[in-house]
Amino acid sequence: MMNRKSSVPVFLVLGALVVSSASAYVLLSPRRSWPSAVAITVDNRGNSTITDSDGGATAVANAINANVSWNGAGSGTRVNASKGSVASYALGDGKVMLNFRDPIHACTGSCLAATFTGYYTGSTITDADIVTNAKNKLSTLAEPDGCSAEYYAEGIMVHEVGHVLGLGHTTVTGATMYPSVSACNNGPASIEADDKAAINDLY
Amino acid sequence: MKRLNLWCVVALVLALVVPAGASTFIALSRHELIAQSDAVIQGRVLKVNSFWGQQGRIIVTEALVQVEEKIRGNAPTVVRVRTFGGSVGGYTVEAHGFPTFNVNDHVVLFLHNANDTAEVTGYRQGQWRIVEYKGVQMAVPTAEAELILRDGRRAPAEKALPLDAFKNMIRADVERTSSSRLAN
Repeated sequence: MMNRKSSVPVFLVLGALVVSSASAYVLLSPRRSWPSAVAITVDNRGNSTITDSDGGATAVANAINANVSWNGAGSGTRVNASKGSVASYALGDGKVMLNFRDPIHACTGSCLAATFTGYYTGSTITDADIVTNAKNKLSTLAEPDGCSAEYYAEGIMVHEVGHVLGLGHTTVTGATMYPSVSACNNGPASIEADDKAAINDLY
Repeated sequence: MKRLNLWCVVALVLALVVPAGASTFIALSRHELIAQSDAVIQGRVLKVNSFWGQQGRIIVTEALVQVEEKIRGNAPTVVRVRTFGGSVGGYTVEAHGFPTFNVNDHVVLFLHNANDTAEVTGYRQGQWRIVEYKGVQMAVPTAEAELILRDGRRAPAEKALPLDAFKNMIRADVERTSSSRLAN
């Protein structure tokens, strides 16, 4: 007879096995991807809790474009992030925006950041947007006063862009798409082997 | 063997109702989930309607839920619950990690703003599906196993529980909180 303690790991394993494919990484279900590299507009207003020169906008855009992020996975350039206005933020307009605020009041309370993807029937993502709960304290590597009990925006947003690209959460600890972030740990800004495998599966 | 079969069923049901992928949420403790809710209800989804909301910026979905039992707090007989994401005119917006509703879903919901247009507290943490297995009603969590605590560590995964035990835990927490307030 299986006791209650040992049944929980079985439950999680069975759930993970059914939800995921044979590998540790998980793709969004139904599987879908972008037909070409994704242009992302990063909110040029920045985040009010980030004390670098522009509230983290440049740091986040650079982190998304960096070769240690999704563009270095081996499947070519997948994202082009640049600072700009997100005033026209809306799903369905085909413009991918990373908003340091939350104009639609979706990411409140326990939400740190939320990603939405839009698609018609089929396997193509046609739009995505990210909103941020501005009540949480964020930091960047460029902050002059360093990080203290804050989350690095670079790591969070590289993770969220993974969802934009069509990835779900992985079970591999330390991977960018692992659903855990520690204060003052920017590890997720650099993708790992599991993340690369996921992107190369999709693209 | 029977318990293994039960967990298999629960795992399969959970896998079917929980799409992969999520935004980033911080885990609420069971106490926080209750304390931040106006009401906790058991109910059945009567109707689901999706439409473009927020000045046409995103698709939202509203579910009408017939309240079978008010486990905690007050709520109308039929609660209107709003979430983000849904499908309109062949276009789907997926709100990763947000609660989703289907007609006839049997649920336990932790709600705030319950007497107006309610929202689920803690996103999927506040949404549990009721599944019947060999005559036993089970409360199954819809939250992904992987949530983070405020200190960044991975939160313990929620487990499926017999529905009655789950409701008793909620009532016990409310009672403990009330007793603590009286004592102070």
